[in-house]
Amino acid sequence: MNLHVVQLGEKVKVKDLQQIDSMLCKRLNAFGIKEGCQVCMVQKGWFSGACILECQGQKIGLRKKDLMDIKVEQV
Amino acid sequence: MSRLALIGNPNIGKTSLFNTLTNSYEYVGNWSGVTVEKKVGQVKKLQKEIIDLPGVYTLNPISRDESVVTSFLLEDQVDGILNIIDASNFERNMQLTVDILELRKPVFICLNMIDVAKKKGISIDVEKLQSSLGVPVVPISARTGKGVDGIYAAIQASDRTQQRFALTYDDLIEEGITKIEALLQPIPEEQRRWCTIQFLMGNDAVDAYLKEKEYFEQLAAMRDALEKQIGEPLNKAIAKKRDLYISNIYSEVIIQEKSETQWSEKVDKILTHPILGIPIFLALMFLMFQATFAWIGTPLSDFLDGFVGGPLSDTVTRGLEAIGASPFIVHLICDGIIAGVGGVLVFIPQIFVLFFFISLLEDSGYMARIAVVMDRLMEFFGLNGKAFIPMIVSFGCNVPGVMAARTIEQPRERLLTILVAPFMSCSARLPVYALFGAAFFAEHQSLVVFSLYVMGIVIALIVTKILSMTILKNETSVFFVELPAYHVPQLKTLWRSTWEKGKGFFRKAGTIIFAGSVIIWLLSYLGPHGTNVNMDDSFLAIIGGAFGVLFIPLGFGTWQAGASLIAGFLAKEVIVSTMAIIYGVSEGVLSSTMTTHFTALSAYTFLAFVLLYMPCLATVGAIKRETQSVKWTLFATIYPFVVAYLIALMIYGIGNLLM
Repeated sequence: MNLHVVQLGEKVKVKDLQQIDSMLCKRLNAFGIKEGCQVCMVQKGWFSGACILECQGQKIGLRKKDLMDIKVEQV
Repeated sequence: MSRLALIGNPNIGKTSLFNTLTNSYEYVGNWSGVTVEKKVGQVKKLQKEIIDLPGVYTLNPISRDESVVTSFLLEDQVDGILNIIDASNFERNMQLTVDILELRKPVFICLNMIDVAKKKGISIDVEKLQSSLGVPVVPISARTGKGVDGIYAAIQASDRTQQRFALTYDDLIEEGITKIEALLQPIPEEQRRWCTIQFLMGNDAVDAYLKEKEYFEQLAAMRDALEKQIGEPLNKAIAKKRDLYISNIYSEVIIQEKSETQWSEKVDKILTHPILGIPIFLALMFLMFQATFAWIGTPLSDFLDGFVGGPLSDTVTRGLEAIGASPFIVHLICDGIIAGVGGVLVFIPQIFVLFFFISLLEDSGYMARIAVVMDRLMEFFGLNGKAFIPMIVSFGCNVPGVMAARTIEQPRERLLTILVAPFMSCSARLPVYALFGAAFFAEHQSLVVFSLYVMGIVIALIVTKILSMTILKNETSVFFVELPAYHVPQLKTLWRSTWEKGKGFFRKAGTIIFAGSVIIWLLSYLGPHGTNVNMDDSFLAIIGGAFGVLFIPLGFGTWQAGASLIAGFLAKEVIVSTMAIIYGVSEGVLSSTMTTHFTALSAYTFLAFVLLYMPCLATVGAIKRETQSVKWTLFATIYPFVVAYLIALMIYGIGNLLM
């Protein structure tokens, strides 16, 4: 499943980052978001707005279209 | 004098530490990318120079401000590096630390934000960390300055010791590193390994640096071969090894306990709420203007105005007459300088109140939240939410606003942001609004001013949309923003950043506004038929008249408006100085004299025109520096005039129909 369908407050493990934009991938990696790490959906935007994720105690904002390219699995 | 570089992740207190170490007052805020270029300061206690660099997550740059750091490390020599790390985000910060340790320069680690970490239930064994990394680790608090003496001690103790950090990668990679290192002979020995590893990881700045060398082709071929040999992307293989190293250290030095739920979590839920987020933002902005104009700023300004227009002006006139100054001098000082410079200075309270609130926004951490809340809207217009930060900074002044656009990753989005940031109503335009607001819209001053600020944003968005559909098309857009922990703003920091923003205003008053006032007054005093002419026959009237003709369709086609708009290119405040001189009266009466030349409608049209018509001289300079292009600078200077004219025409036309 992709990261965008995850429910608010649910914790999931990142499985695959291959499909996202390479620049964004670089940024996410530097930020500690890699295959195997745990993330949690904190806030979802309406009308396909930006979402807020939590990972290792830090929060980041990402777009829906990029979240859809991030494959995750239940913990 | 030897030099130290200050490097760390964005928004973890580098500039605060820099200010503490050097006793200076550089710009700090709670969002990623406050520092966009390097700054140099002196540490008196150590007799060393220290260089504050923009925040980076790794030494592999993506945006323009980040490449500043890597290029600096490649091209400049430093004797040591202060690596400041955020204790509450240990793993992420260590990524950069490993990058830095591989440089093999003396490294001093400053462990900041221990209090934030403690709130998250994290504590760090400093001794163990120090022995694992083999470099000094000093716990500090950059905001309060606690622990800074530890840095001095560590640096003095370890003068000239070379650190010998080495992370060994897999055999195949190590072989590759040795081969490439052999080719890099011209590069200083201690830099070679770092340069090689960065090159293997696909660091664009290192690539660009090596591209000039004749052996680059050979290097690139070796990199490709190695990648094929190990069967996975090199950066992944290297990162894997590093992650393992970091997680080992993590488990050794970090003690994680259960954290208490923080109040900021609840606040954040509301402030970033998908529906409530935007209305809350608008309401906060409105409160800010209400405070600036209605509650605090205007009463203080009125008081100051009474003093400058009355006692000050009278005393100076009497004093000058008593010492027998010529009428020319008396006129120059009282009608030119006091009216011109004083006319602007009376707005200081309002400007400072506004700066105070902008500093509050910056320091609290709310900025990044606005970027998230606004992203959907901005995406529609062809930008990303991060572009909203330069726009809000532009409310203070357009120059730092244009520079703040550096944190935007895509060149196209960055250019777009630079092009529209000057539409944001800066504090220099505020005196113009205040002047007209008091004269024509006394009852609804904050509402009128608020409408102009909103108009600036709306026009900027529309122009962005048009530009992004025409001359600045395509390139996929990406959005990524870090949401920092909220800070309870400290009064000292707030005052400092308010003063830093405000002091530029005093400088302008002493230079460009002063000079502008003298020139405008002289032009109004001189005419083709001699000196002390009737102002309608002065050079100023002739020049202003020629330009003013353009504005007849907009309802303010007088020479007075024309002249002040020309002068306004120097700095927007000069519009007020010019009007004060032209109408030749003190501020209080100025409002009533103006009603003969403007109606409420043409006054509002004039304000809208002033808001949009042209970036000031200093902003044009900043645009030139940032875009590095004469073509775009010219475009950015001229097209707003066309936009302003069209909008003003629309406002005046529609207004006339309604009235």
